[in-house]
Amino acid sequence: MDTDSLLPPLFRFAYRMTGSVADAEDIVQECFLAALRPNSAYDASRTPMRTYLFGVARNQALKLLAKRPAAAEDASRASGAPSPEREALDGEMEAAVARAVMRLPEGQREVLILAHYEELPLAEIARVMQIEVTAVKSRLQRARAQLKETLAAYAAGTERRR
Amino acid sequence: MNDTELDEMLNQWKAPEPGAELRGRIRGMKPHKRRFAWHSWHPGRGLFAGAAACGVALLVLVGIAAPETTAGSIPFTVDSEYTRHNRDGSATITEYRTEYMRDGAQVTLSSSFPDNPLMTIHNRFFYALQNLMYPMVRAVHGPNPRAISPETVANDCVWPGAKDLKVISHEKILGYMTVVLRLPKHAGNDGRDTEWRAPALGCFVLRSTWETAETDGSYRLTDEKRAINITINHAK
Repeated sequence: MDTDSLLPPLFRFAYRMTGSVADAEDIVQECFLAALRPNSAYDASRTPMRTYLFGVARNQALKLLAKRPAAAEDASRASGAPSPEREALDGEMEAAVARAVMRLPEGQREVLILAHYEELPLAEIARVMQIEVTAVKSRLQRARAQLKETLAAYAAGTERRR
Repeated sequence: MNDTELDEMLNQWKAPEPGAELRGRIRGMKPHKRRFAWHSWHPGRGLFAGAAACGVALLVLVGIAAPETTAGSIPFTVDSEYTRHNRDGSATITEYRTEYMRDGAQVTLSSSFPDNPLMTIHNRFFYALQNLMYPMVRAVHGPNPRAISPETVANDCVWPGAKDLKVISHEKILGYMTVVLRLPKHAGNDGRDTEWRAPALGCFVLRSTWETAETDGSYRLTDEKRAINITINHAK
């Protein structure tokens, strides 16, 4: 198993889903443990390792979010810990984007993160989420439409600053 | 806002990279070895496995020991070969069998199939078990109704009430005089069944043939049993 290439995208996905580095670390560790367990459900002949691991990461993230629903609302955590310089440069843009993504309905958020940030093909996202490709497309469209609406004000502000 | 502008905005949200400690932890993970789990063990499985193992072991022991142990308590054994005669004139030995006479019936002690070792093992167990169970079967069901009686032996191996059974001739096989009997025809079968029975050996069949009827009215030998060795147990 190529952990070096699989770890970063899984970690980023878990981080963007939970907004927490510590939770992302726990999730990623659990993913690899699940794959290495003797009674692992992973079947190389049926599912690529990356798809399987994203599926485990997704389940773990959803489980964790269900335990603390407030986490998704905590946009300040989702933006990471920006340095004063970066804050000065980017203003609140990063936090605003993080907040907007985190406020998306769960299903739309997963699709957006996997499609936009991790650049997974729609068919693979469908396998990870165990839904139809058409459902993936529709969720992605709705997520992007919602984000355009939410972030329109920030976009306008940026234009003004330019 | 168009799609490109949205993508640019989304790209503003950077995710941190996994730390070195996490990378080290993940790299150090090894696949777990499958261990025996007591929580998943069920007593029934163990009992079943144990009983099955004991059964197999018993069959093996019986299969190995029974022919030898029984051999000492019987008056004689006959080794025979079974041959299949092909239409092209060739012949194939299909089975070797060692038999003896018990309570007026021929009993197989062991058999082997030159071309089928699995069948050999199967039959070895089967006959050994059958011999082992015989006293019990005898006690429950009584004597074999088809056993050859002393009267039959005295009557040239022609059992009382036999219909269409013909004595054809007398021949000597391996030093024993035999009565050649043409058996009654089976319904719906035009073949011919012949047996060579030795009265001195309790009417044991030292030879038998099966001939199939040809269209021209002749008979062709297809299957044959032939005694190749007789061992008398003088200790008895």
